[in-house]
Amino acid sequence: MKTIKFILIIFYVMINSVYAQDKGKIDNFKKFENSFLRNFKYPAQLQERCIPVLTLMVISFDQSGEINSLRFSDSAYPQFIAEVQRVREDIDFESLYMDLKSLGKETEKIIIPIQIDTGIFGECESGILQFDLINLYLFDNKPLKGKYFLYNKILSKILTARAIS
Amino acid sequence: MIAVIVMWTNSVVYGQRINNNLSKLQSSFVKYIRYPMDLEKASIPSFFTLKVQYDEKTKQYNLEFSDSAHPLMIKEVLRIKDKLDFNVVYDDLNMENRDTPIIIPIEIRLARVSREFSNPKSKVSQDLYNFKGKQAFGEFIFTPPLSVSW
Repeated sequence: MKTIKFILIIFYVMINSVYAQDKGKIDNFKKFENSFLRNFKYPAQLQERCIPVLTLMVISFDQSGEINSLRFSDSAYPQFIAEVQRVREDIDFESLYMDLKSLGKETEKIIIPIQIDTGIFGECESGILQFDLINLYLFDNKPLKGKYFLYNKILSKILTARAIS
Repeated sequence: MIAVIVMWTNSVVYGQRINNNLSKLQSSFVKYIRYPMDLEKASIPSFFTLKVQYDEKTKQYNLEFSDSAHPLMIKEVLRIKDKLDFNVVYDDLNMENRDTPIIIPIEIRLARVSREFSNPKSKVSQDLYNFKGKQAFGEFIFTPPLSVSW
């Protein structure tokens, strides 16, 4: 009886530790995504016109985990890029790096698709135009080409309502 | 002197080959694709991605279509599949190994687009990289889009 209990406890611990590992992997991306969305303030000029964010973020890290290069495809509006630069220090890129490391992909060029829909309650809701999709793959008018690691996308919706005065 | 001329000739030919590799694929696509009438009439453009995987056993390329592909368009691309030479993607990158699958964006652009397409409820952009509900994740060779203004 004691042996069975002992075996069951071992199994329980094993299963939980595997689960915890999986949870760790998911958590790192979630940590990164949450820090991005928490700090990101939807640019007023884009929200006023119900213009969504649709872009490919291409990022690469150096050997010490610092960002080597960070760029956005042509479909990203300057106001979006400026906002990301503004909050860049507060975004948890370290967790992203940790997740890539756990996959053995930390030296690769990473693609993170980003889509943030927006809208003003009772007024408008953003939609994706043919124009956005065409520019999604262009970087300074040149199409994306080569070996990349396609990573999880950041997908969100940020709605607002006008205050009634 | 002769060495210089030979080197120069080689680089010119090589340069042409680089350009021709991928443009061959693009021009085949443009030449053979017939945009389904129903989609054209409804003013619905096509934006999706093709996942192309080389099968060592059959020596063929297997095609998968992302969830934003309309069934009529899937049928059409499969119809012209044999006219598309995906080898050029690996040749262009000087890759002998064809283990890494290819992601090719497909774009059929229309001059007039139905409002339905840009409806906030549309899932075209969200499904660009989704295959049977799951996002493609991992290493891929991205190539320039095969695009036609229809």
